[in-house]
Amino acid sequence: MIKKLNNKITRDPARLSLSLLPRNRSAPDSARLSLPLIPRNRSAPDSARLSLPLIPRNRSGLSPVITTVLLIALVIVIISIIFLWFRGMVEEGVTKFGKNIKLVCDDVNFEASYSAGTISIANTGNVPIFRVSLQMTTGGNYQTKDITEFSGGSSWPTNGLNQGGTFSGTIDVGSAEKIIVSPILIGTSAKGKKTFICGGQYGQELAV
Amino acid sequence: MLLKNRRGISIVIGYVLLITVSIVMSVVVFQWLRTYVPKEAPKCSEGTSFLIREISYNCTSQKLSIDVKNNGKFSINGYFIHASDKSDLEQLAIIDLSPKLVVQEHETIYLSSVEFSNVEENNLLPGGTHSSLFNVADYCPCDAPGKTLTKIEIIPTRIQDIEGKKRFVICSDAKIEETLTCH
Repeated sequence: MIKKLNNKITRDPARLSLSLLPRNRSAPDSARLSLPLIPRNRSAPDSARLSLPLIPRNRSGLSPVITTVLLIALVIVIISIIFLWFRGMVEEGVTKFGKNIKLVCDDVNFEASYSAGTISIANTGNVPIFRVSLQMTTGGNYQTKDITEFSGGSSWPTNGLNQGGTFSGTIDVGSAEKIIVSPILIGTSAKGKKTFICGGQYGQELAV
Repeated sequence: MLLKNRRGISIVIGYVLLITVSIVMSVVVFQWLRTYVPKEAPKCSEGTSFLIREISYNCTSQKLSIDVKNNGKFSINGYFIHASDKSDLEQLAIIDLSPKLVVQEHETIYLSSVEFSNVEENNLLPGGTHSSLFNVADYCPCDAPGKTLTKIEIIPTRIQDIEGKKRFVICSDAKIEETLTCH
Protein backbone atom coordinates (compact mmCIF):
# COMPACT_ATOMS: atom_id res chain seq x y z
CA MET A 1 0.00 0.00 0.00
CA ILE A 2 2.79 2.39 1.03
CA LYS A 3 4.76 1.53 -2.05
CA LYS A 4 1.77 2.29 -4.20
CA LEU A 5 1.18 5.51 -2.38
CA ASN A 6 4.79 6.56 -2.82
CA ASN A 7 4.54 6.11 -6.53
CA LYS A 8 1.48 8.27 -6.66
CA ILE A 9 2.98 10.97 -4.50
CA THR A 10 6.02 11.15 -6.72
CA ARG A 11 3.85 11.51 -9.74
CA ASP A 12 1.37 13.97 -8.35
CA PRO A 13 1.92 14.75 -4.69
CA ALA A 14 -0.57 17.55 -4.36
CA ARG A 15 -3.55 15.72 -5.61
CA LEU A 16 -2.76 12.59 -3.69
CA SER A 17 -2.25 14.36 -0.37
CA LEU A 18 -5.56 16.14 -0.75
CA SER A 19 -7.48 13.04 -1.45
CA LEU A 20 -5.77 10.54 0.85
CA LEU A 21 -4.52 12.42 3.90
CA PRO A 22 -6.85 14.07 6.36
CA ARG A 23 -5.95 17.67 7.15
CA ASN A 24 -5.18 17.34 10.86
CA ARG A 25 -3.54 14.00 10.85
CA SER A 26 0.13 13.53 10.49
CA ALA A 27 1.15 12.37 7.09
CA PRO A 28 2.87 9.06 6.53
CA ASP A 29 6.67 9.20 6.24
CA SER A 30 6.61 8.90 2.53
CA ALA A 31 4.18 11.74 2.17
CA ARG A 32 6.13 13.94 4.59
CA LEU A 33 9.28 13.38 2.66
CA SER A 34 7.76 14.67 -0.49
CA LEU A 35 6.47 17.92 1.01
CA PRO A 36 9.70 19.73 1.89
CA LEU A 37 10.60 19.59 -1.77
CA ILE A 38 8.79 22.88 -2.07
CA PRO A 39 11.15 25.62 -0.87
CA ARG A 40 9.70 27.76 1.87
CA ASN A 41 10.49 31.16 0.49
CA ARG A 42 9.85 30.49 -3.10
CA SER A 43 6.51 30.64 -4.76
CA ALA A 44 5.34 27.14 -5.16
CA PRO A 45 3.57 25.72 -8.17
CA ASP A 46 -0.21 25.48 -7.92
CA SER A 47 -0.18 21.76 -7.42
CA ALA A 48 2.25 22.02 -4.53
CA ARG A 49 0.49 24.95 -2.92
CA LEU A 50 -2.54 22.78 -2.49
CA SER A 51 -0.61 20.47 -0.18
CA LEU A 52 0.84 23.22 2.11
CA PRO A 53 -1.92 23.15 4.70
CA LEU A 54 -0.66 19.72 5.69
CA ILE A 55 2.35 21.29 7.53
CA PRO A 56 1.36 22.77 10.89
CA ARG A 57 1.92 26.54 10.63
CA ASN A 58 3.23 27.02 14.19
CA ARG A 59 6.06 24.60 13.73
CA SER A 60 7.58 26.28 10.74
CA GLY A 61 7.27 29.74 12.36
CA LEU A 62 9.02 28.95 15.65
CA SER A 63 11.86 26.83 14.44
CA PRO A 64 14.15 29.61 13.02
CA VAL A 65 13.71 31.70 16.18
CA ILE A 66 14.61 28.81 18.43
CA THR A 67 17.54 27.91 16.23
CA THR A 68 18.86 31.47 16.29
CA VAL A 69 18.48 31.71 20.06
CA LEU A 70 20.19 28.37 20.53
CA LEU A 71 22.96 29.35 18.16
CA ILE A 72 23.62 32.65 19.94
CA ALA A 73 23.46 30.98 23.36
CA LEU A 74 25.88 28.27 22.25
CA VAL A 75 28.31 30.79 20.77
CA ILE A 76 28.23 32.89 23.94
CA VAL A 77 28.82 29.84 26.14
CA ILE A 78 31.68 28.58 23.95
CA ILE A 79 33.29 32.03 23.82
CA SER A 80 33.02 32.33 27.61
CA ILE A 81 34.63 28.94 28.12
CA ILE A 82 37.46 29.72 25.69
CA PHE A 83 37.96 33.15 27.24
CA LEU A 84 38.15 31.76 30.79
CA TRP A 85 40.56 29.03 29.71
CA PHE A 86 42.74 31.43 27.73
CA ARG A 87 42.81 34.00 30.53
CA GLY A 88 44.29 31.39 32.84
CA MET A 89 47.07 30.75 30.34
CA VAL A 90 47.97 34.38 29.68
CA GLU A 91 49.80 36.01 32.57
CA GLU A 92 48.39 39.18 34.02
CA GLY A 93 49.96 42.37 32.70
CA VAL A 94 51.59 44.49 35.38
CA THR A 95 52.69 47.98 34.41
CA LYS A 96 54.86 50.63 36.00
CA PHE A 97 55.44 54.11 34.57
CA GLY A 98 53.06 53.14 31.74
CA LYS A 99 55.12 50.21 30.50
CA ASN A 100 55.36 46.55 31.25
CA ILE A 101 57.13 45.99 34.54
CA LYS A 102 59.53 43.51 32.93
CA LEU A 103 60.96 46.38 30.88
CA VAL A 104 61.26 48.55 33.99
CA CYS A 105 63.62 45.96 35.51
CA ASP A 106 66.16 47.12 32.90
CA ASP A 107 66.13 50.61 34.39
CA VAL A 108 66.73 49.51 37.98
CA ASN A 109 70.13 50.50 39.29
CA PHE A 110 71.33 49.56 42.76
CA GLU A 111 74.43 48.57 44.69
CA ALA A 112 74.71 45.95 47.40
CA SER A 113 77.39 44.66 49.70
CA TYR A 114 77.58 42.04 52.46
CA SER A 115 79.97 41.89 55.36
CA ALA A 116 79.86 40.04 58.67
CA GLY A 117 76.13 39.36 58.65
CA THR A 118 75.20 42.86 57.52
CA ILE A 119 73.78 43.60 54.11
CA SER A 120 73.90 47.11 52.69
CA ILE A 121 71.85 48.27 49.72
CA ALA A 122 71.82 51.65 47.98
CA ASN A 123 69.37 52.64 45.26
CA THR A 124 71.49 54.56 42.77
CA GLY A 125 68.90 54.51 40.01
CA ASN A 126 65.68 56.27 39.17
CA VAL A 127 63.28 53.39 39.86
CA PRO A 128 62.09 52.94 43.45
CA ILE A 129 62.89 49.46 44.77
CA PHE A 130 59.90 48.16 46.72
CA ARG A 131 61.80 45.31 48.37
CA VAL A 132 64.62 42.90 47.55
CA SER A 133 64.62 39.16 47.28
CA LEU A 134 67.65 37.25 48.59
CA GLN A 135 68.52 33.93 47.01
CA MET A 136 70.96 32.10 49.28
CA THR A 137 72.89 29.25 47.70
CA THR A 138 74.35 26.38 49.70
CA GLY A 139 76.00 23.66 47.65
CA GLY A 140 73.53 22.85 44.91
CA ASN A 141 70.51 24.06 46.84
CA TYR A 142 69.13 27.50 47.24
CA GLN A 143 66.54 29.24 49.33
CA THR A 144 64.81 32.50 48.48
CA LYS A 145 63.63 34.96 51.09
CA ASP A 146 62.23 38.45 51.07
CA ILE A 147 64.38 41.00 52.94
CA THR A 148 61.49 41.71 55.32
CA GLU A 149 61.52 38.08 56.46
CA PHE A 150 64.80 38.67 58.26
CA SER A 151 64.86 40.28 61.66
CA GLY A 152 67.21 42.95 60.35
CA GLY A 153 64.82 43.64 57.50
CA SER A 154 62.25 45.23 59.77
CA SER A 155 63.86 48.62 59.17
CA TRP A 156 63.33 48.34 55.42
CA PRO A 157 61.28 51.41 54.36
CA THR A 158 57.56 50.60 54.03
CA ASN A 159 57.28 52.39 50.68
CA GLY A 160 60.51 50.92 49.40
CA LEU A 161 63.91 52.38 48.72
CA ASN A 162 63.47 55.60 46.78
CA GLN A 163 66.03 57.32 44.56
CA GLY A 164 69.23 57.72 46.53
CA GLY A 165 67.86 55.71 49.45
CA THR A 166 70.08 53.38 51.47
CA PHE A 167 69.47 50.42 53.76
CA SER A 168 71.58 48.37 56.11
CA GLY A 169 70.45 45.42 58.20
CA THR A 170 71.64 42.16 59.70
CA ILE A 171 70.62 38.93 58.04
CA ASP A 172 71.21 35.33 59.01
CA VAL A 173 72.34 33.51 55.88
CA GLY A 174 73.35 30.29 57.66
CA SER A 175 75.90 28.33 55.71
CA ALA A 176 75.14 30.01 52.38
CA GLU A 177 78.10 30.48 50.06
CA LYS A 178 76.66 33.27 48.00
CA ILE A 179 73.62 35.56 47.91
CA ILE A 180 71.89 36.90 44.84
CA VAL A 181 70.05 40.14 45.57
CA SER A 182 67.18 40.76 43.14
CA PRO A 183 64.97 43.85 43.18
CA ILE A 184 61.22 43.56 43.73
CA LEU A 185 59.16 46.28 42.09
CA ILE A 186 55.56 47.25 42.63
CA GLY A 187 53.30 47.97 39.70
CA THR A 188 49.63 48.21 38.86
CA SER A 189 47.46 45.55 37.30
CA ALA A 190 43.75 45.17 36.66
CA LYS A 191 43.43 43.79 40.19
CA GLY A 192 45.33 46.67 41.81
CA LYS A 193 48.89 46.90 43.11
CA LYS A 194 51.06 43.89 42.43
CA THR A 195 54.70 43.10 43.14
CA PHE A 196 57.09 41.69 40.58
CA ILE A 197 60.47 40.08 41.21
CA CYS A 198 63.02 41.06 38.58
CA GLY A 199 64.83 37.96 37.32
CA GLY A 200 68.27 36.82 38.39
CA GLN A 201 69.90 38.67 35.47
CA TYR A 202 68.94 41.95 37.17
CA GLY A 203 70.32 40.80 40.51
CA GLN A 204 73.70 41.24 42.15
CA GLU A 205 75.76 38.36 43.41
CA LEU A 206 77.45 38.78 46.77
CA ALA A 207 80.06 36.42 48.13
CA VAL A 208 79.57 35.42 51.75
CA MET B 1 7.72 41.11 1.77
CA LEU B 2 8.19 40.41 5.46
CA LEU B 3 10.66 37.66 4.76
CA LYS B 4 12.78 39.94 2.57
CA ASN B 5 13.11 42.57 5.32
CA ARG B 6 14.14 40.00 7.85
CA ARG B 7 16.90 38.72 5.69
CA GLY B 8 18.26 42.22 5.09
CA ILE B 9 18.40 43.11 8.78
CA SER B 10 20.20 39.94 9.66
CA ILE B 11 23.00 40.67 7.18
CA VAL B 12 23.41 44.22 8.46
CA ILE B 13 23.48 42.98 12.05
CA GLY B 14 26.05 40.40 11.01
CA TYR B 15 28.31 43.07 9.55
CA VAL B 16 27.84 45.42 12.47
CA LEU B 17 28.66 42.65 14.94
CA LEU B 18 31.68 41.57 12.91
CA ILE B 19 33.07 45.09 12.67
CA THR B 20 32.35 45.82 16.35
CA VAL B 21 34.01 42.63 17.51
CA SER B 22 37.04 43.34 15.27
CA ILE B 23 37.38 46.88 16.59
CA VAL B 24 37.05 45.80 20.22
CA MET B 25 39.61 43.05 19.76
CA SER B 26 42.03 45.41 17.99
CA VAL B 27 41.74 47.96 20.80
CA VAL B 28 42.31 45.31 23.47
CA VAL B 29 45.34 43.84 21.68
CA PHE B 30 46.74 47.31 20.97
CA GLN B 31 46.46 48.39 24.62
CA TRP B 32 48.13 45.19 25.76
CA LEU B 33 50.96 45.32 23.23
CA ARG B 34 51.56 49.02 23.85
CA THR B 35 52.85 48.23 27.33
CA TYR B 36 55.65 46.21 25.71
CA VAL B 37 56.91 49.16 23.67
CA PRO B 38 60.01 50.52 25.45
CA LYS B 39 59.67 54.10 26.55
CA GLU B 40 62.39 56.57 27.32
CA ALA B 41 63.77 55.67 30.73
CA PRO B 42 64.39 58.52 33.14
CA LYS B 43 68.13 59.01 33.07
CA CYS B 44 70.66 61.76 33.27
CA SER B 45 72.14 63.42 30.19
CA GLU B 46 75.48 61.99 29.21
CA GLY B 47 78.24 64.44 29.94
CA THR B 48 77.03 65.30 33.42
CA SER B 49 80.10 65.42 35.64
CA PHE B 50 80.97 66.53 39.11
CA LEU B 51 84.19 66.74 41.11
CA ILE B 52 85.25 67.42 44.67
CA ARG B 53 87.63 70.35 44.69
CA GLU B 54 88.30 70.40 48.41
CA ILE B 55 87.24 68.35 51.41
CA SER B 56 87.92 68.80 55.09
CA TYR B 57 86.90 66.41 57.89
CA ASN B 58 87.65 68.33 61.03
CA CYS B 59 86.82 66.82 64.39
CA THR B 60 87.98 69.89 66.26
CA SER B 61 85.18 71.93 64.72
CA GLN B 62 83.11 68.74 64.23
CA LYS B 63 82.41 69.83 60.69
CA LEU B 64 82.84 68.25 57.29
CA SER B 65 83.18 70.81 54.56
CA ILE B 66 82.92 69.89 50.91
CA ASP B 67 83.61 72.10 47.94
CA VAL B 68 82.26 70.73 44.67
CA LYS B 69 82.52 71.85 41.06
CA ASN B 70 80.34 71.14 38.06
CA ASN B 71 82.88 70.17 35.41
CA GLY B 72 80.33 68.67 33.03
CA LYS B 73 78.35 69.99 30.10
CA PHE B 74 75.01 70.28 31.90
CA SER B 75 73.68 72.15 34.89
CA ILE B 76 73.16 70.23 38.12
CA ASN B 77 70.28 70.37 40.57
CA GLY B 78 71.93 68.87 43.67
CA TYR B 79 73.53 65.73 45.02
CA PHE B 80 73.07 62.75 47.30
CA ILE B 81 75.83 62.32 49.85
CA HIS B 82 76.48 59.07 51.66
CA ALA B 83 79.34 58.20 53.97
CA SER B 84 80.83 54.99 55.34
CA ASP B 85 82.29 54.30 58.76
CA LYS B 86 83.73 50.91 57.76
CA SER B 87 87.45 50.43 57.55
CA ASP B 88 86.86 48.21 54.51
CA LEU B 89 86.60 50.76 51.74
CA GLU B 90 84.93 48.23 49.45
CA GLN B 91 81.82 48.40 51.59
CA LEU B 92 78.94 50.56 50.47
CA ALA B 93 78.56 54.03 51.90
CA ILE B 94 75.07 54.01 53.38
CA ILE B 95 75.12 56.76 56.02
CA ASP B 96 72.96 59.55 54.65
CA LEU B 97 74.64 62.84 55.53
CA SER B 98 71.86 65.12 54.24
CA PRO B 99 70.19 65.43 57.69
CA LYS B 100 73.54 66.68 59.00
CA LEU B 101 73.68 69.55 56.50
CA VAL B 102 74.20 72.96 58.03
CA VAL B 103 71.78 74.72 55.71
CA GLN B 104 73.22 77.88 54.28
CA GLU B 105 71.95 80.38 51.75
CA HIS B 106 71.03 78.84 48.37
CA GLU B 107 70.69 75.38 49.90
CA THR B 108 67.79 73.12 50.66
CA ILE B 109 67.09 69.41 51.19
CA TYR B 110 64.79 67.40 48.94
CA LEU B 111 64.34 63.62 49.11
CA SER B 112 67.55 63.21 51.13
CA SER B 113 69.52 65.19 48.58
CA VAL B 114 71.27 68.52 48.97
CA GLU B 115 69.77 70.94 46.45
CA PHE B 116 71.27 74.14 45.11
CA SER B 117 68.68 76.76 45.95
CA ASN B 118 65.64 75.57 44.00
CA VAL B 119 64.37 72.01 43.83
CA GLU B 120 62.81 72.52 40.39
CA GLU B 121 65.79 73.96 38.58
CA ASN B 122 69.34 72.94 37.75
CA ASN B 123 71.07 75.84 39.42
CA LEU B 124 74.71 74.79 39.40
CA LEU B 125 75.79 75.79 35.92
CA PRO B 126 78.74 74.16 34.12
CA GLY B 127 81.93 75.44 35.70
CA GLY B 128 80.09 76.58 38.84
CA THR B 129 81.19 75.70 42.39
CA HIS B 130 79.35 75.14 45.65
CA SER B 131 80.45 74.66 49.28
CA SER B 132 78.47 72.69 51.86
CA LEU B 133 79.00 72.15 55.54
CA PHE B 134 77.92 69.08 57.52
CA ASN B 135 77.76 68.58 61.25
CA VAL B 136 79.72 65.40 62.01
CA ALA B 137 79.75 65.51 65.80
CA ASP B 138 78.33 61.97 65.83
CA TYR B 139 81.39 60.75 63.92
CA CYS B 140 84.06 62.31 66.10
CA PRO B 141 86.64 62.03 67.66
CA CYS B 142 88.94 60.84 64.95
CA ASP B 143 90.18 57.76 66.75
CA ALA B 144 86.74 56.38 67.74
CA PRO B 145 86.78 52.79 66.45
CA GLY B 146 83.98 51.97 63.99
CA LYS B 147 82.59 55.47 64.29
CA THR B 148 84.89 57.65 62.28
CA LEU B 149 83.92 58.26 58.69
CA THR B 150 86.23 56.66 56.20
CA LYS B 151 84.84 57.67 52.83
CA ILE B 152 82.04 59.57 51.13
CA GLU B 153 80.12 58.98 47.91
CA ILE B 154 78.43 61.79 46.03
CA ILE B 155 75.89 61.26 43.25
CA PRO B 156 74.72 64.37 41.38
CA THR B 157 71.05 64.86 40.49
CA ARG B 158 69.32 66.78 37.72
CA ILE B 159 65.85 67.92 36.76
CA GLN B 160 65.40 66.33 33.38
CA ASP B 161 62.73 67.04 30.78
CA ILE B 162 61.25 63.64 29.93
CA GLU B 163 58.24 63.38 27.62
CA GLY B 164 57.30 66.97 28.39
CA LYS B 165 57.49 66.51 32.15
CA LYS B 166 60.15 67.66 34.57
CA ARG B 167 61.59 64.61 36.33
CA PHE B 168 64.06 64.41 39.17
CA VAL B 169 66.78 61.98 38.10
CA ILE B 170 69.94 60.55 39.62
CA CYS B 171 73.15 60.66 37.61
CA SER B 172 74.60 57.41 38.90
CA ASP B 173 77.18 57.34 36.10
CA ALA B 174 78.67 60.53 37.51
CA LYS B 175 79.10 59.14 41.02
CA ILE B 176 82.31 60.16 42.80
CA GLU B 177 84.02 58.65 45.84
CA GLU B 178 86.56 60.18 48.15
CA THR B 179 88.35 58.72 51.16
CA LEU B 180 88.30 60.83 54.30
CA THR B 181 91.12 61.66 56.63
CA CYS B 182 90.06 62.94 59.98
CA HIS B 183 92.06 65.72 61.63
